[in-house]
Amino acid sequence: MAKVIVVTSGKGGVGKTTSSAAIGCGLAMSGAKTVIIDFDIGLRNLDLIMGCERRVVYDLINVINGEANLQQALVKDKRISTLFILPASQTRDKEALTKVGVEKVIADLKADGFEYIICDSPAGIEQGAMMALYYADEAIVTTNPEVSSVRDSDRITGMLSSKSHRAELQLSPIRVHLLITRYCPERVEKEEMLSIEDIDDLLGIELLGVIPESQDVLNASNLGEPVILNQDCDAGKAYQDAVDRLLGIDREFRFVTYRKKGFLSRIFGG
Amino acid sequence: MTLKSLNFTLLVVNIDSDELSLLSEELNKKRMMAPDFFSDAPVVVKVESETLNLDYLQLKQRVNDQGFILLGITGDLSDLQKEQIKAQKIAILKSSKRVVARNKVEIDSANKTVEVERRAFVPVEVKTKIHTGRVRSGQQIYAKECDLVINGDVGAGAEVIADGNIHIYGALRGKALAGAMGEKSACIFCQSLSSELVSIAGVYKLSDDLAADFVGKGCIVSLQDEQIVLSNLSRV
Ligand SMILES: Nc1ncnc2c1ncn2[C@@H]1O[C@H](COP(=O)(O)OP(=O)(O)O)[C@@H](O)[C@H]1O
Ligand SMILES: [Mg+2]
Repeated sequence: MAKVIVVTSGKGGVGKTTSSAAIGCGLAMSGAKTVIIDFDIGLRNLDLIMGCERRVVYDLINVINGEANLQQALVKDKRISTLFILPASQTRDKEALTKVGVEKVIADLKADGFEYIICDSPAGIEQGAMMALYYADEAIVTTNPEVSSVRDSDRITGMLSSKSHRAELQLSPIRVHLLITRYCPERVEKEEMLSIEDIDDLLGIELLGVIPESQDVLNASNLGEPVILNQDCDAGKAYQDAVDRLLGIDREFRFVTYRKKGFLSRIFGG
Repeated sequence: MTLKSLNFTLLVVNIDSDELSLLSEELNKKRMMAPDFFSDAPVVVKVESETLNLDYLQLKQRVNDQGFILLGITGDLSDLQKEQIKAQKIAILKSSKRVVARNKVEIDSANKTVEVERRAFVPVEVKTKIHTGRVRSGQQIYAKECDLVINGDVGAGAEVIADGNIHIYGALRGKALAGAMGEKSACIFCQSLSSELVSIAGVYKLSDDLAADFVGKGCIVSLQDEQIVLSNLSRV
């Protein structure tokens, strides 16, 4: 059964697009035909992070308006044969995103054999964000370890349970996962950041993954190479763990405790 | 067409001074507590004294300006007041005071039996609204004319409102308004208090004013002498 997964947060700049790209890649690498849809109309950047910006011809709004068909608009990833991107429009206004339009695109993608449909949500709780989450079966609520981000995640989680298609039709609720990004155990230790326990207390959402704060993420974005493709770095490994959990494989949480660099580890570079 | 009589619970605002700006202030305070809840809410103004000489047109305007709808005016009104109110085409509402007959208990000391004079049985519907699960930021739960039980946390930015009492089996981090229509004996019970605002019958306390010894603890919030009072939830 095809699954629609929204990556959402309420707050902007917390790592939704980074996570959509990484998790979409990871799922596709497991062999499942996967598409990542950029719902951030007017501020598209998924194509940049995926490194396919020069191959974008048509976009989601073109498809909704019937100006292009899906096959024309889908951009095939050069690295992973099962991965596709449906870019956002850079120019159109977001009012063009309608329930009917989005429903048809998702139905067509399912008919085309896509197993995972990842919706990269824009920030906020306006039209674009509402359309990205409306048809979701599962949600990855992305949160940074700070109070305002957690508050917004709480808000958007409330909307998942009241403003979605599943809620309105009283179907089984959207399965919600929590992804904590930009986690820095050292700063948690110094009480400059909320801990995983604090966040769990405030949100009560099942934890899917904890991605450490890392320069490797920025480097990956600049290269247009989703960070999960770099399995030598902690962030890449943490995203892979999250994907594995999504696929039902148990994984221990890594990179969540702070170890002061001791004498030996300094010598051996541990 | 049939004419039916229904019962409503209405927001009543008392006015005991000629100074109408006080009314605006009162309504504004109410609205700020829960803007979504009170927007366009019907309100009745109760004139507290026969000697008040009010500008009723201005009164109506001020109610509207605060985002409420004036349903009418009530109180023990003088004939002059009634005339002035009618002149502005504002309804005068007569409140039928609900007389709650208390059970009269007589103790016959001779044989120590207790006789209770029962009033005729009136089927009273005692409702409680029960919400299971967390109330999240931006969500609002309202228990109209009854108590509210929340089995879960009330997050920051969430609002729980009841005309009666509020019981929270969890942490209160958002707003809780008990006695929303004016019931002063209403209380709020919660297992861990770190509220943004608690209010009983319109009297409220903000998080800044919470005494530190109560924060994060099991608490009862009640109203005594027009003041919000916190006390420990006893752990037996
Ligand atoms: N784990 C991380 N470590 C360091 N920087 C990160 C991490 N995750 C995201 N970022 C950076 O944060 C910024 C916002 O990320 P982005 O995915 O565009 O957020 P959103 O889509 O939620 O607006 C980007 O510059 C990105 O590189
Ligand atoms: Mg984004």
